[in-house]
Amino acid sequence: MAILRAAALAEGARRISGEPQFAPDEDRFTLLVAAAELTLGDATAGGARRFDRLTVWADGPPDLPEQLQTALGLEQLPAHLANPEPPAFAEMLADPSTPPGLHLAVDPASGLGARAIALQVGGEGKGGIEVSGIDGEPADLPTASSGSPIWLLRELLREARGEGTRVVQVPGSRLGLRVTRLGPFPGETSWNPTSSAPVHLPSSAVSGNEVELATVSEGAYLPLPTYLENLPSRWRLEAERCGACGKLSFPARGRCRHCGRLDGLTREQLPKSGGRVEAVTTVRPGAQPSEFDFQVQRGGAYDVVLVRLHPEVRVTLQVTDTPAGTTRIGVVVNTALRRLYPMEGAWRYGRKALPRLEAAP
Amino acid sequence: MPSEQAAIVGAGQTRFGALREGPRAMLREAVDAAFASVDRGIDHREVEEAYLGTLGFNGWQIGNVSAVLAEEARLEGAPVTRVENACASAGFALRTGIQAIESGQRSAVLVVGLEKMTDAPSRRRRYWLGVSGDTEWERLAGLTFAGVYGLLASRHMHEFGTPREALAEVAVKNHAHALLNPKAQFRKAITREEVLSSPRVADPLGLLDCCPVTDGAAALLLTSASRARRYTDSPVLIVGSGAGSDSLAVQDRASLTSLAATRRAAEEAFRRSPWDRTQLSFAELHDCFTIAELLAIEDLGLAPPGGAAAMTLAHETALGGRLPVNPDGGLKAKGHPIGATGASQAAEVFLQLRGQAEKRQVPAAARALTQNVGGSGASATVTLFEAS
Repeated sequence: MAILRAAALAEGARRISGEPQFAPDEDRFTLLVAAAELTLGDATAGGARRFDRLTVWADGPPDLPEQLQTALGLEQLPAHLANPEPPAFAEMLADPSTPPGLHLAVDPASGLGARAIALQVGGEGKGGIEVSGIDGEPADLPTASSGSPIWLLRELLREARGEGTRVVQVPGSRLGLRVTRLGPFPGETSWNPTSSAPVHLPSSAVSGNEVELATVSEGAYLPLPTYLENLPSRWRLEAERCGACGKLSFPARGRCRHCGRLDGLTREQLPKSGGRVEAVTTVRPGAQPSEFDFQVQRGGAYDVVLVRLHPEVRVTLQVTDTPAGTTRIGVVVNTALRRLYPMEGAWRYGRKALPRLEAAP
Repeated sequence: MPSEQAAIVGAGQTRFGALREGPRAMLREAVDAAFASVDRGIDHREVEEAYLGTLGFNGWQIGNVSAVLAEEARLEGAPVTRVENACASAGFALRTGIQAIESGQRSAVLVVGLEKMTDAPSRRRRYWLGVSGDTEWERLAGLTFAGVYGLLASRHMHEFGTPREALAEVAVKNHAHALLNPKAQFRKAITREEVLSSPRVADPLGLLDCCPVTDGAAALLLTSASRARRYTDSPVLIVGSGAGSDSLAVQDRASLTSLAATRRAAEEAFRRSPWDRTQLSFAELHDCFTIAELLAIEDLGLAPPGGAAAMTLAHETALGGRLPVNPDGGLKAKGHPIGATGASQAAEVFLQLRGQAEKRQVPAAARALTQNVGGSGASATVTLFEAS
């Protein structure tokens, strides 16, 4: 894999006018990834959907498609930037001349919304999910107990498979998200429109997400090339299965941790959701590594968990979108790509844990 | 079997705490104290080689710091090697010195541990406090060592029902011990309620569950046992030395309630020892966080898994109990100058086994163990000592 130009990732951190919409660790890049993961489904089920190209509707940077390919494990697909004027995805679905593929777009209104759609190659029909920012009046809108919009969308889509549009809005603000499930993916048997429970977003789930990128962290120095060395493990939880002893190694480092073999290793995707928490701590202000100072100043304490993501793999993850001190051993978590901290003018990204939304009573 | 047995003929250390002295003066004070403690004296030119344990805190002289020890100890050209295994640096420096003696290559060596931690701003200090953990995964998740040990504590409490009070009792006991140690950083008694209500740092650990930031240096003079009688009638004999390693990141370990490196080190140390763990007079354990003392007691086989809490709550590990642990106050209250701790533990053993520990003297102390852990258990040493 070519060395990526990480500075490009900083693009998404730009300040927006008006009230910020997302959690401090979200930006355009993480939202695009989240939207695409929603569309693609969980990696364990994602194999059924195949695309022959990736189109990113955005005004750059030029290596954004490559970053997204890495985050999504789609390196084999041709990918390109298209006209930044995003298409009307509903119209694209209806148009038989629309090329099949995975289409991702940035919402031009805020620069932070992200839209994604998936069109399957050679199938009977076309299916997709559109995720976009909205600007409307708070009204009788769905509410949820906690979490950021993107996370809630994932949960809404997981639990309620209703056709049509769902809207999540931040109480007291004009900002929110709209999700439109455009129809079943070919071969999908569980398409079962039902109404979903109300969802309420606390104001704590939203805060500013701009940070001075010029601030060079005094944190433990993970040089850029080392950080970039294994993005498939960092960004999408890719492990290696040994052909000799059959065991799994994570992160993938080109050698079996168990028998030492260097050859016969095959890449294997760990589940990105459904991990169980085995240990938890709440890092209080002052106990954080200095590179997380900006985050603590903004959001205070945070939880960190050891998660059993696979019978053979345990991973250390920071918890996000959840009040500190509320994560318990035994709870099930999903994961999402988020910003970690800025260093040397660019954001470092990695996966974080999101406790699953408990159904509102 | 080794061709020679190693013995400690002299030991000394600085006070632990926020010291006015800089690293050079601290080195000098500890080394001079070690030389001064040799009953019949030893000339500094008899030291054939030296080993310095230090992390290089705050970036002071990261490279070639050995030369500073050579100057301050007036080694006049004798080789010095810096040994670095984070918080176990001096434990491994001691082990290296023991090996030099036991192999017959050297007959007198100097082992020193040093850390100067309080002279940097807190932001820089937190940087250094994290550089010995796994920087690629744990650190990126927002953990420093308090957080890593917080995770281990949460799991121990979950699996064994370890009460929060048992963690607090470790701190209460070690503070009570430090009250009797004039070299200790915290000479102040604390109550269980104070520990339980101290500000949270990394749940379930509070501020009083954590060792402090400390300046300090400690030095040991080792010779072969056969030569030791030239210098003293009561050398402290080293009867076992073991060490182990483990993965850097806790996420890669089989168990979250045990440090495999400690277990392996203990197994190796006791394999050679003429006595077993039931015969120990006391132990100096690596209590960087209160949970770490409970883990150590269990990993060393001094209590069954999950059994250290009851032992602690029954005051069996307090001075006057069945097996005193950390009579000097431990890392918790004596202080934890990262690279100096392993040497300071042995310096305490030197005093105890010679009956010189004054108010904190373990009665009839004859056999002792030190355990020194690097980071969250990526490395560990266990050393066994016996009075002559």
